[in-house]
Amino acid sequence: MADSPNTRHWRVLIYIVLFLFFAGISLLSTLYLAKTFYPREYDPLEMALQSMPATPQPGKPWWKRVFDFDRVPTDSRGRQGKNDNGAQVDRVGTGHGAPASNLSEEQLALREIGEAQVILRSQSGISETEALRRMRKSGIQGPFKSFEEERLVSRLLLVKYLDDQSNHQVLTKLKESAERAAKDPHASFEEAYYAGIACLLAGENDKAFGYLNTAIDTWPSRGRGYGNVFLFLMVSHAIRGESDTVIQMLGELKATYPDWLYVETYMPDMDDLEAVYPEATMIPMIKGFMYTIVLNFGEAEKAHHRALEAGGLDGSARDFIREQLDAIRRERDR
Amino acid sequence: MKNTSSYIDFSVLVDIISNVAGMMIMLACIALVVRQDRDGAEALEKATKPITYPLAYIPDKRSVTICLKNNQLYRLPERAGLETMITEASKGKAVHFVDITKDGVEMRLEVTPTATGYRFLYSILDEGGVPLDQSAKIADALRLMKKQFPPDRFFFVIHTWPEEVSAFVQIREFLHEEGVEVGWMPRTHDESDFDIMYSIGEYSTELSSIKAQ
Repeated sequence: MADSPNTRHWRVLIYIVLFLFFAGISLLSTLYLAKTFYPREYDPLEMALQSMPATPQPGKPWWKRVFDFDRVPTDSRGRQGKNDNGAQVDRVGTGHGAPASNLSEEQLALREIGEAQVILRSQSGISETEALRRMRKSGIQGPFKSFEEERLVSRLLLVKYLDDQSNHQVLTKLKESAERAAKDPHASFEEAYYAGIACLLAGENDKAFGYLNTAIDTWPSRGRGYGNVFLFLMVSHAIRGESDTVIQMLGELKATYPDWLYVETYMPDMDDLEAVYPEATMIPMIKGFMYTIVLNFGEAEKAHHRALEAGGLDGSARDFIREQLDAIRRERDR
Repeated sequence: MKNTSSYIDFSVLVDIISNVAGMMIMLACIALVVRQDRDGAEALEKATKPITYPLAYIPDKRSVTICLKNNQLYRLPERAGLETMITEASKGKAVHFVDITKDGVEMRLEVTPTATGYRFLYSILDEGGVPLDQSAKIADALRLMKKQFPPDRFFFVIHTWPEEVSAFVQIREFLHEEGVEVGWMPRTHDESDFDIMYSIGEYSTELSSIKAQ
């Protein structure tokens, strides 16, 4: 019996709905496959630097605020002075610029925004684009503005690189940004240091040497930061094959590098640099010395023997290593 | 005369599309399995050993500090302080410091003299933290912190005053079960102005060792 027109109408409608349903599933599955096997290459910092909206962005949409797990319960007494983070602001100290810096009020304000954003980013508090946007949203203007933005970008790239040190694309961008910041007239000891480290990790030791020398000459005080510059400058000398300088700096290491005791923290950096500069056989010599001063004689001997076997050392370096190995043997025999 | 009426048989179309959709669903499931395998392998590579002895090693992670004092658990309002600093500095003039109070902790955030970072100074108040005898609230607070600071990137450091050591043991056990690495700092009652102090980006002769930060 043939279908009535009404039944046929409903059947057609059902088929259309089923068609759309299955077509939708097909499309979503295709998109998911594409996203899995061909993930989008997206660098938010570059895109943020290329184009920024002229007007301030709106705050969080309402549906995000509703499901915001960090939301602070409303104070029923309606206390004054609480900001958006639920904190009671007791006092804000303003005035002249920071004592040891020669930054203007406006530049220091922009610097403060940037530094706070870097710390928040390292705690996964914000994204890179949001950090740059918030800095620009402040509206602070001046000849220092492009420098402070570049400084922020290089710090954010550093945080990104520290999160994933296998990402060479980020390292390249970090190096470029750090160098631009270091060459700016507003640059200070910190910019020289970060440019030096980035160039060192990127295999450009000659550039790194220049930046690290600038950093150590302009560093404001001794301490942990100075010690780090000293350590990496010593490695840079080692890569250049300057054994006498390296041996002299090793003699000053304990006095200059406060973290010499914490081998686990800095030895991975030495391993990374050894991988970047495999021909620099004085790096294993440095590692051997560092293991010796923390009495890890086993690792010290391995590192020293590796340096000797790799070859390429001059007489001073070979003599130094032999003295170290003799000293280890004497300690063991005691 | 035959009555010829023609109509499109949509059932054929639905058959074709449903077959295609079925194949796509199967491929999507395979992609999901491949992705989970890859993530699982990566997670295994990044797995670190649990801390069994304090100060035995320094994990390659960032730290999150909580305090046990006055029979309460306190979170440090680091983020709130930084956000307040951003808000105030965005007004266009330099800010030397901000003082805030949140969840029983007074915080002073100061710019370092070289303008390269901040000093974080905290005082624990008598009230405002999460009472240690309310275990459900404690568990909720710790789980929230774990969500905000994932264990693969952060470890917790618990500053513990003498009266709260037994609570610390329980909290550490709870965090270990949640897969969080835990370090601790035993504290004493002293007369200093601030209970917790550290700096980020400060270059000073006083900060000569890793523990100073």
